Amino acid sequence: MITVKDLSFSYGKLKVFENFNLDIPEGQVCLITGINGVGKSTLLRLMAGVLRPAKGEIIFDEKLGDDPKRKIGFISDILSLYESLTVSQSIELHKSVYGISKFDDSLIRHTKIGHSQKIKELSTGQKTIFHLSLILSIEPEVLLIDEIIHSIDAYLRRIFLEQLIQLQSQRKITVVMVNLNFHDIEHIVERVILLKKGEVAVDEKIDGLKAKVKKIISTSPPQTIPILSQIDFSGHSEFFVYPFQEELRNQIRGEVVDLNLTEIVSAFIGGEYA
Amino acid sequence: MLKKEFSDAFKQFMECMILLLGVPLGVLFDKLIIHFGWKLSDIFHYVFLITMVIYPVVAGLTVFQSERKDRAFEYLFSLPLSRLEAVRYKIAPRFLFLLLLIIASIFFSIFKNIWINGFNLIVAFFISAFMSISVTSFVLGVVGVSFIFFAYYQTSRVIQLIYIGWNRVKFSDFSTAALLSDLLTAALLLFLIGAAFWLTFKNLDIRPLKLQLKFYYYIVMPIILVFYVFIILLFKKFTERGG
Amino acid sequence: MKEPREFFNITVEAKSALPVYEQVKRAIKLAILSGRLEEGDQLMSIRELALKLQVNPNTIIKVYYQLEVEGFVNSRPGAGYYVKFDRKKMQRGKWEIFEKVTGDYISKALDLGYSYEDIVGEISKKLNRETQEIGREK
Repeated sequence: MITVKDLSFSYGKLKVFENFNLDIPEGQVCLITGINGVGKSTLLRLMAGVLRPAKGEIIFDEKLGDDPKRKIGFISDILSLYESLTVSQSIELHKSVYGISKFDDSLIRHTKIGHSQKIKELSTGQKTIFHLSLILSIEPEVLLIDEIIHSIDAYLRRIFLEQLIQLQSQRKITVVMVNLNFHDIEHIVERVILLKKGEVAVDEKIDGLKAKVKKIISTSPPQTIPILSQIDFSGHSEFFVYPFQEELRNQIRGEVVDLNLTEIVSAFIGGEYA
Repeated sequence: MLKKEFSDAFKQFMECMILLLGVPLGVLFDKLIIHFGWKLSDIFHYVFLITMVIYPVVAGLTVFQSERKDRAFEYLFSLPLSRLEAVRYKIAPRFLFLLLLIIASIFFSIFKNIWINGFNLIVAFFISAFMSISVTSFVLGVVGVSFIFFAYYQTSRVIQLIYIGWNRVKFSDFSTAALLSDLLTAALLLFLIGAAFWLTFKNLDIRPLKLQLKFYYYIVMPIILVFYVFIILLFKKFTERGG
Repeated sequence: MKEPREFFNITVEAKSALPVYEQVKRAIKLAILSGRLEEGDQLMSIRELALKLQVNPNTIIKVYYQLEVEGFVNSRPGAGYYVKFDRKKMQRGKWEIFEKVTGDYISKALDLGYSYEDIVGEISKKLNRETQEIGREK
C-alpha cells in the first residue's frame, strides 16, 4: 500500500534520511518507534505529504487514485488546525476541500464538543477527538498517527482505540503509528519498526519479536546470544538478548523472562544510550 | 478552502475600510473644519487614498497570517491541495478585493481630479504577498515592503528618465515611457521576489519560518542592494550629463 | 429458555511468550472443553471480541479460523461462528489439558524438592478426602 523508495530528506543541513526504503502492505498495523529525533515523525509527515522528499518518492497503491492525499488521514501531536475557526466552520472547510458531503459527528457529540466553540477553546483531548473525527470522515484507506495517544486521558484513549478497531473490522485500513508508549496499542500492532540514525534497525512482526527478545536474569552474561543491553544489580544482572531461540533455553544459566513491548523497545534503545 | 480564504480576505478588507468609517465621525467635527475651509468630500477622498495605499500592503503581508497565528501550516499541507493551489486560493480573494478598490478609485477619479496609480498598488500587493512568509513582525514587514517598493519606484523613474533623455522623445510620450518602465521594473522585481517566495514555499516544512529563509537572503537582499546602487549610480550619471 | 450461563473472561497477557492469538484460542478452547460454551452457542462476532479485548481484529480472525480448522467451531457465512460438539475431540482435548496440568504439578513438586513417594502420598491423601466429602454429602 505504501512504498518508500530511495527517500532522502534533510532539515537544512541535518540529514534525516538517505536512500531510505520501506514497504508497508495493505491492511497492516505498523508501529514506528525509536529515540526522540531519529526521524519517526519526519517519516510520517513525508508519507502524509506534509513534507516533500529531497530525493526519492513515496508511492501509494493505485487504489488511492490520482490524489492519494484524499484517502490519507494524518494526525500529529501538534494537532494543527485553523484555531480561530469554530467547530462547524472547521468541518465545513474540511468537507469542501476533500469533497465529502456527509460528516459523522457522533464522536464530537460523545465528547461534548459544541459546534459553535472555537477550536482554540477546546481542551487537548477534545481537539484530538475532533481532529480524529475529521480524518475519519474522509473514509481513509491509510491512517498516519503521530504520538497523539499520550496526551489524552484514559477514557478518550479507549474511544480512540475502539475507532481504530472498528475501522480494521470494517475494511483493510493500513495504519502507521508513531508511539513512544505501547501499553494501549500493544495488541493492535502487527509489525514493529525501530529506527536508528535514519535507518531501520529492527523490523519484525510483533509475535516474532516477543519470541526473540527475552530478559535473562543471571550472574554472568549469556554466551550464545547477542546482548542488547543490561541492567546491573548488586547480586545479579538482567541481560536483554536478541535474537533468542527456544532451542537455546536449556543452555542458558539463568532465568528466561518474557517481555512486553515496552520492555522490548527499551532494551533496543537502551543499547543506544550505553 | 476558497470560502475560508474569501472570508479571511473580506475581514482584512473590512479592517482597512474601517478607516472610511472615520468619515462619519468627522462629520461631528465638520463645523470646526469648515472654519479652515475643508470640505467633507475632500476628507473622504484623502482618507480613501490612504486606505487604498494601506490595503494592498496589509492584504499582502497577511496572506499567511491565519496559518502563522493558528499553527495551521501542517494542516494546510496535509490537505489534498498542491502548494500552488494553496497559494492561488490565498492570493485570489485578496487580489479581487484590491481590484474592487481600484475600480472604485477610477470611479471616484471621474468626479475628482485625484487619481491613484492602480498598477503601483498591484505591485505593492504582490511585493507584500511574496514577502509575507519572510517577516514575523507586521511593522517590519511594512518597512521592508516600503523599501522594496521605493526601490522599484525609483528604478522605474530612473529608467524612464534615461529612456526619455536618450531618445529625446516628445513630451506626450512621457506617460508611455512611465508605463513601460513601470512594467519592466515591476516584472523583473516581482519575478525575482516571486522566485524567492516560491522556492521557499514549495519546500516549506514545519520548522520555524525564520530558519527557512535562505532564498530570501540569497535573492531579495542582493537585488534590493543592486537596485539602490543602480538608482544612485545612474541618477548621478544622468545628472552629470545635465539631463 | 436457556439459563444464564457463566460468562468467562479472557485475559490477554502482554508479557507472554505466547502470541495473542494463541492465548485467546486457548481460552476459548478451555471454555468449550469445560462446558461453559455448549454446542450451538454463538461466539462473539470478530468485531465485538476485538473491541472487548482491545486487540487487532486480524488476530480474532486468525483465532476463529484456527478453531474452525481444529474442529471446535463451525462458521455459517453471514451468520457467525458456532460451537461444534465433537465428543471424541472433547475427550481428547480434556485429556490434553489433564495431562498438562498433571505434568505442571509434578514438575513444580519436584522443583520444591519432594520425592515421588511424597507426591503419590499427597495425591492419595487429597483423593481420599474428596471421596469422603462426596460420601458425606450423600
